[in-house]
Parts: sequence; structure tokens; C-alpha cells
Amino acid sequence: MNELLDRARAGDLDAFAALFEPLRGKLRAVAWRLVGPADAEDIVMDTFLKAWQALPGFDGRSALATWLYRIARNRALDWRRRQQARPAESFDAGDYEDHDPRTVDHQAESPAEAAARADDQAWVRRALDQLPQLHRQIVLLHYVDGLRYHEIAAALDLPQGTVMSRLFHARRKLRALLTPDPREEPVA
Amino acid sequence: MKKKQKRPSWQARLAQSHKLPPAPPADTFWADFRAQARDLPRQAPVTVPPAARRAWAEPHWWPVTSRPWAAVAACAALLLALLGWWQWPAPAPGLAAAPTSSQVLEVAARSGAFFILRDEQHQGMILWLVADERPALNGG
Repeated sequence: MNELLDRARAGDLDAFAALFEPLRGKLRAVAWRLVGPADAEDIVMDTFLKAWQALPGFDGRSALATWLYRIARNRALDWRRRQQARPAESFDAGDYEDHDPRTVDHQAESPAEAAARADDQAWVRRALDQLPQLHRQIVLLHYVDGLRYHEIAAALDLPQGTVMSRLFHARRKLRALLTPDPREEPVA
Repeated sequence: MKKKQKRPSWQARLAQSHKLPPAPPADTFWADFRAQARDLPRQAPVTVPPAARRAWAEPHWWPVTSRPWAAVAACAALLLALLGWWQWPAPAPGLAAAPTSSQVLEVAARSGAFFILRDEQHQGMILWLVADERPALNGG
């Protein structure tokens, strides 16, 4: 790890790729949750390019992942400023429309199963939409993308305690919204 | 009789509905990265000895220990609090004799004590600080 870091600092692109590949998945998740699907992949590449430029100045005071998530957050903020300058739709409006969940891993389902799943997902999405945006991001980063509290704190520039308390409140509300399913009859 | 279907938990439903699509393959991604990064200017390296870098990276059991100024400020605040505590007068007798209060916590030291009391009558808590006028509580 330290050897890879030293080599990457010295300008070895292969070492940089080997060092950061394990973080790519979570970084991608952070980008998706911060800017939405349309620009997430650009933010990921932009973050790695910025990290490549800044790595020689990385002093090791924070973990590499934390440092990377902070860069991603700054790139996302820049992206938002550019978006606000344009009269385009916001991330909330765009959200997941560009992403077709059928492409994920559901090739072998029947039309009825696909319809039921789509219905279920729409219901979950409606419940999630009732949360404030920050709560939504924290819930998704933790429960769907598997980020830990300190990683979320770095990605969202929040104290870790704030992340924990927001997650607690969001979880309580989501559980109440999602546990009793009013659309379904109990199966005998 | 129909077999009872297990409903997925709300967390599983959430994960299913908001799962990200597969990431681009590592080879493709990093090849693209290399092509873009090759000509980018880079920051000057930091001139920190490796030993110091390792010391910074080690986690501290208590965050204050990594910030000397915070530890000094905390000690100063504690000293001021102790001095102020010494000079405080004893609590009013009426409060001490409140018949509806019951003791929850007592912490005694050489120079005084503090109590946390539950006030049954007013449905509240009383924080009671006591400064002893003698050098020691059991000084005879």
C-alpha cells in the first residue's frame, strides 16, 4: 500500500490505478448520490484526475478514501454551481430517470414479475422521496452503497455524529413508511 | 395451502430499487484515465519525512490528543471552573431541605461535592454544587 502510494506520488499511473481501483465502486456511489446518474461517471473521472494532480501533496493526515471523497464532494459542488448557472432541471428532478433498473440484473423474469417489481420499486421510491434530500443521500450511501459513517461524513462534509443522528431519524421514518405495505393483502 | 411468501425487508427493497448499474470495466476505465492524466500538471510533492507521515496516519484514541491547543484550553477551563467552584457560596437552606427531592447522584471531592436531585414536587432535576469551607471533608 505504502509502496504503491509512493510510486503513484512519483508519477506511476499503473500504481495509481492499482491503489485507487478498490475505492472506485464507493466513489462512484458517492458521485451518483450527489449529482445523479447523468453526470456521475464524469464526476468519478474528474475526481480521479484531480486526485492524480494533487496526490504529490497528499500528506497522509487523513485516510486515502476520506481524502478522495472530499475531492469528489468538491467536484460535485462545482458541478452544482455550473448547473445552477444554467436554467436546467435540478438533480432532484432528474434523479433516476436516466437509469433503467431493468438493465441491472433482472433479465430472466416473467412480465408479471417485472411489473410487480417495478410497482414495488416505485412504492419504495415514493417513500424515499418523502425524506429531505440530505437524509435520502445518507440512507442510500449507507444501506445501498455500503459506506461507513466516517466515509459518508467525508463525502457530505458533515460531522460523523450528524450522519449518525440523521440516519437514525431517516431510518425510523423509512421503516414506518415501508414496513406495512398497504397495497398487499397478506398471503395465506 | 399456499406457501407463505417471505417479504423482503425495507432495507432489501431499498437496495433493490436504488441499486447502481454495473460500473465500467476496470481496464476500460483506467485506460481512459491514463490517456487523460498523462499530460496533466501535478502538484509539487510535500517535503515531509516518512516517519512523520506514519505518525500522522496513526489513529488517536482520543481526538484531543492530536490537538495540543485543545488540550491546553480544556485544562485552563477546568482550572477556572475549580477556582470558581471553591468560591461559590453554599446552597440556600430551603433548597437543601426540600422534602420532595430524592437523590440521584452524588460526587464528593476534598473541596466540595455535587449532587443531582430529582424534585418530585416540581417534576424537575436539581443540580446542587457544594463548596466545603474546610480544607478537607473529613478533616476532623
